[in-house]
Amino acid sequence: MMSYEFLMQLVVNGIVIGLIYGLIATGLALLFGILHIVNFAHGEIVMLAMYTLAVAVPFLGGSYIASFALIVAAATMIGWLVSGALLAALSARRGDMAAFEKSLLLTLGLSIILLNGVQYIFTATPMMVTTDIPVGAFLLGPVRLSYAHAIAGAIAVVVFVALYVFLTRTNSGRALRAVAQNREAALMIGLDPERVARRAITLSIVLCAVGGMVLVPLYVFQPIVGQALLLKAFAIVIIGGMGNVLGAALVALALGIIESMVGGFANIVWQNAIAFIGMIAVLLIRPQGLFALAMRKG
Amino acid sequence: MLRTVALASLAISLLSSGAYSQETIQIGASMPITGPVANGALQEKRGLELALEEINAAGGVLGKPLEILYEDNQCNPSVAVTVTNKLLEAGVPVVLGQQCSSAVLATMSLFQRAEVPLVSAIATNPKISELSGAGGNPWVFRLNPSDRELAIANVNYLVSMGGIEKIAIVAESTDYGRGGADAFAAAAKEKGLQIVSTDFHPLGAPDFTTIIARLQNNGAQAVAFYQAHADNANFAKQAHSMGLKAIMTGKLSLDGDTFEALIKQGAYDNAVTVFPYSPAVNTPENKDFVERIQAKFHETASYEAFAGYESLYVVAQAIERAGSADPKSIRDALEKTSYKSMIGVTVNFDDHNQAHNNAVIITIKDHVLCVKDVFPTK
Repeated sequence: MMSYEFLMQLVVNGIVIGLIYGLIATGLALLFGILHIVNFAHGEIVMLAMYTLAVAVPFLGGSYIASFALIVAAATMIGWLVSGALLAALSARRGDMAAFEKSLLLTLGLSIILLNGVQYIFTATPMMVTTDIPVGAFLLGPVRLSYAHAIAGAIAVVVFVALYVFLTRTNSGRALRAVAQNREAALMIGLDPERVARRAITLSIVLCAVGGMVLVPLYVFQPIVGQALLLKAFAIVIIGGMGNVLGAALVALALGIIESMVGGFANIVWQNAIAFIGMIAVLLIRPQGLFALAMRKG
Repeated sequence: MLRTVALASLAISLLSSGAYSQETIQIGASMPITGPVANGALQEKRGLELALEEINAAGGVLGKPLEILYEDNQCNPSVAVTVTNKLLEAGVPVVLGQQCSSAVLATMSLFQRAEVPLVSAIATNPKISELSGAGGNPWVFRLNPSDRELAIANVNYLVSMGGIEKIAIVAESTDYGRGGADAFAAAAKEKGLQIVSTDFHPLGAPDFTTIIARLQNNGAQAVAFYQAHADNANFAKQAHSMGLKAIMTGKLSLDGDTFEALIKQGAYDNAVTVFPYSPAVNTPENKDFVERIQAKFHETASYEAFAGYESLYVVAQAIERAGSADPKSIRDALEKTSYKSMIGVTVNFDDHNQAHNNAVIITIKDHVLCVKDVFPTK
């Protein structure tokens, strides 16, 4: 039953989910780009932000935006503190394992602790948060868009514009990109790698928190929610080029739309396979990723 | 070298026999304590703990207190095999559970090989009873009705409402989801209803917008669900905010705080489900049970809590009848089960080790849940 309305509905649904994937995947790409580490606890940070929002909303009279702003501020502070601890834990002075291997074990352990810790505190009862965002949908031309989807999409667009401006127009952002492109050259021009790394970790955690918080009005969730999202984020980062932040954002958006189309017109079973088929194809044909034009060697 | 090994194994056997000398009867319980169905285990555990407390307060079984050994199968068939082996190696004489159909089907042969009975009280895939009892696996017993019986009653009720001809099926891609979808499709075909789409999604999938868009476009008047309860709550929330008009049906668990909130919001309006249990079933025993669960856990009773509670009583009574906690005697005693269920029927096992408890038809009108009928699944 092919119709213009249905097609547009799928495109809009895909854009919103793609933007949300983007929030989660860019944080992961940033960490890999700057620190060359993989964060297995990324999905659990998304989940943690969702549960934190669930706790905050009733305290702030149901206000979604106030809770959102509060948690962004908290995530920035916590992110800065965590970044110091993480860098210390990964530092070469401790043990003889490389930072990459250490990051695998450390973040995997962290993921298990966070997942089970949250389930211990909140139990696995499906969590539904009632906010001041109205339940229901409005018509956007031929397309029905729920208020929750519209707000998630709008927040993601604002965040991406801000991220783009930050990375391309500010000195801190340029420093991030410089370290990602060529660490040695960045050192030579006097950038402090530790400071840059801490900014990258903080930014990654804040992006993750935003990614989680926009999902809260959309979903009824459980502590396991981050796991499915993390697998997709990994696929997106690999397709876009490990460490390429803007590449990850573009791939995420494209994946959202393609998934929606495939799910809409083919079988739903294929919908979840797309990300991984894409990942395998990229690894076979272009292992450095689609957007890795100016990648540094080593 | 040999001596060290011998000493070590002696030490281990002394240590492990220590566990038995406490004079308790240990019962295994395998359930999805973590993972996408963790809420089900949380609920089942409530029922088990309440029953355990009551049984032990009344003097235990054969003069010994019962003890439950919990294992986490994560609703994953391969993990279920691992933890089942662990329970069997620990020497439990009977195991409750698995909860997920895939986990039951994956472990049935282990129970047969070990000659230890499994009592399954939640998993609904029709194959479980087809494979059990006469001509199959005599060690597996099922207390709850299967999705075949529930789907037939469900379709009959939908037909009686009139006006519903096109139905879609949405199910998780597991033995539960696929078994339920097949059972519903067969029952619908029997009554001449048209199945317009069947969508299988991964267990624990977070996003259902694409499926909802499809359902809004394919003319389905009702959607039959065979999903984990948490997934269904998530689906209902998304469908409600996207304005899906089709009636929700199939297997809907509507108990507990999250579902109460969703029902109040109108997410389940006009829903119809045929389900093995409801806390709203109006028998004095059930009312009393719901009160005790509410008092102890501050949430209403659910299917899993009910199933956990009754399954432990069924097993405790079998051990009592057997006169010993020996797996073979327990199995033989289970065959002669005659247990008065809280929802009104005396439960016996048929020659496929399948019990035929009552089931419940529930509808939701204007944000209010209503039990339409309690009927036998014979």
